Amino acid sequence: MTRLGIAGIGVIGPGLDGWRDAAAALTGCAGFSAAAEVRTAVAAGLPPNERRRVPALTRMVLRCCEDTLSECSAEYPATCSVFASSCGDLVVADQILRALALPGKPVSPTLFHNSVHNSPAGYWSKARGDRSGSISVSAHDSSFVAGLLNAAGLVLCDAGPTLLLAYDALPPPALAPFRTLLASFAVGLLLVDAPTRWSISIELRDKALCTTLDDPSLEAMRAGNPAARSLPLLKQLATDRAGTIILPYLSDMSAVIDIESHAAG
Amino acid sequence: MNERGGLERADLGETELDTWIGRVADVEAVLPPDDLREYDCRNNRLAQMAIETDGFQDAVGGAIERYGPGRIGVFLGTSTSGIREGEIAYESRDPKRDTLPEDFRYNTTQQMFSVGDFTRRLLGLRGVAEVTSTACSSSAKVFAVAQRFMNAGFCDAAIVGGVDSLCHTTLFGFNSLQLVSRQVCRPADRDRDGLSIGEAAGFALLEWQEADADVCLLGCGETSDAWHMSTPRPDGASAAWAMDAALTAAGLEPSQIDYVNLHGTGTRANDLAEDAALLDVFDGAVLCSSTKGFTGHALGAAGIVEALFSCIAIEEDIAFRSLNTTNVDERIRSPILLETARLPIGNVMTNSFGFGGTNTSLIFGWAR
Repeated sequence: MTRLGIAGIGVIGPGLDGWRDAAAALTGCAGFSAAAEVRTAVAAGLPPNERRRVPALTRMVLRCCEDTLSECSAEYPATCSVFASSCGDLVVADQILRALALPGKPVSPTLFHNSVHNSPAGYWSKARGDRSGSISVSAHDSSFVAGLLNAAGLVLCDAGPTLLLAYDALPPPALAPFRTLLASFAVGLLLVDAPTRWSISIELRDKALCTTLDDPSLEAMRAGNPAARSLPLLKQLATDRAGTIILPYLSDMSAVIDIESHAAG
Repeated sequence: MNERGGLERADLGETELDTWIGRVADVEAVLPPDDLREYDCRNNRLAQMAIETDGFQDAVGGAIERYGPGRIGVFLGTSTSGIREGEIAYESRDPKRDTLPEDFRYNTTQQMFSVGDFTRRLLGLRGVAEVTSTACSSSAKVFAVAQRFMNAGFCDAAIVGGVDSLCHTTLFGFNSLQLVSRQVCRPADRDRDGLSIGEAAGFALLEWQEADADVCLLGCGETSDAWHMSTPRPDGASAAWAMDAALTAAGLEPSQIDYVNLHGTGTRANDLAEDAALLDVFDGAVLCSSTKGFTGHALGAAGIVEALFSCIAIEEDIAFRSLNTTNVDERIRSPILLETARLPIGNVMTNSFGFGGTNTSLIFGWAR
């Protein structure tokens, strides 16, 4: 497979506030606490009246998108985008389902349009004024790999630089017993068809294999959120060394990712 | 063809919503196999019903022999997955403890990947699989996604499709936006007042072209409005760009498109914006119609339904009338078919747009 360049990385999770923080924690240079608060964000780029309607999860996603692009050494005014989330916004779903259980079923129009799986994509395209194509996918716990395959497909099919954003948030209390997640987490990668600090290739295997993390709290984070399944990849990127990691994909497959580092010095 | 269409006045128990819906008969009678019983919900029953129709399962069996179960991908579109199960669970919520019934199976029903997982297991496949959920463009997008996965070598063939089933979320959600018609939907009509929601499931098997007797996917175009979450750009600029991109990908001029199957929901805003885009690309020189008067708006399944309408148009040399449309809105200047036409159809474009400003245009035609 043709190698893909990674031009920028963004991370938001408990104790992993931005790529620099995350890289330090993943390489053991800084401590990590899964109990830390996840940073909140405002929806920059949108008019104030619209900003108020943006749900908290989408604000986190938009922030991670911005972080990813700001970590790039070049400007990318237009990128295709891939949003990958196991469950979408369960807080919004919970609010709609509560309204539908009331007499008259009073669903708010804003809640309804915020409930679509591609809602973050809609807000992101508007905040950026970017009319490039975008897709929003789910593959349950394998949503990060699904998003990565989509982003790779776009770059390999000459769609240009592609922003991958994978995210899932803690479900609201009523749904928590049915969809157990440890914490909210978002990760962004800008994939390009050009030499950058890192390059990767992806190969699918028909065996369920998985690279795990040595640090117990990071490993719990990895297993506790579909977007955090990216952590072994992020750790390898943070070391700036060549290596191979394996991410589980569906129940019976895996994605073998070969990483090369082209960091100066 | 049956020109009566499949819409009926809504009768959803206690819903009290005065509208028309497209309901698939006998979905209730479908039962998933024993080993997949945990996936049981209306959305997955509808998927199974379509898979067991028209010899599709046999066609997949043939593909499994040719490629192996690990090399066939599953790419399905849905907007609301099995959320009806969530609605039922919340209706029986314990208000004191704020808890849902313990037997609620979130992960295998409401969860967004449910229908992809179910389909992959039902068909005995072991390759890549995902659900694309971009509101009403979902199952048009899957054609573009599958094409990229095949080009990238992640699979050799693909099951594409879409499944969306009737639920309160979409009926009352669209109603809250005042987009649900009180009458049967009449796309492009001057008296149109919104959409009729339908349910549907559809599937197609995509393979690299081998015989020249097949209808092929010739090109896809995808853009974003970057405008508003639930209203299309009035000038249709991004929709026009998606149509242009599909033409470029197909290597076709606008004059080589013989019929456009419109998104044509029957809302005032969509039909005007889509016409603006069509005029920009085709200058009023292409026959077009929406088939949503027959089916209703199947939301996440609309793309596959209309892709299949497009393939039938090519195979049968037929361009469908805009059912229920009597007086075309004088502001709509593209030629809307009020009667079904029999004429040579070589290439068809089909449009799918959705909330979040997502636009997808596909072009189908004979193999070249």
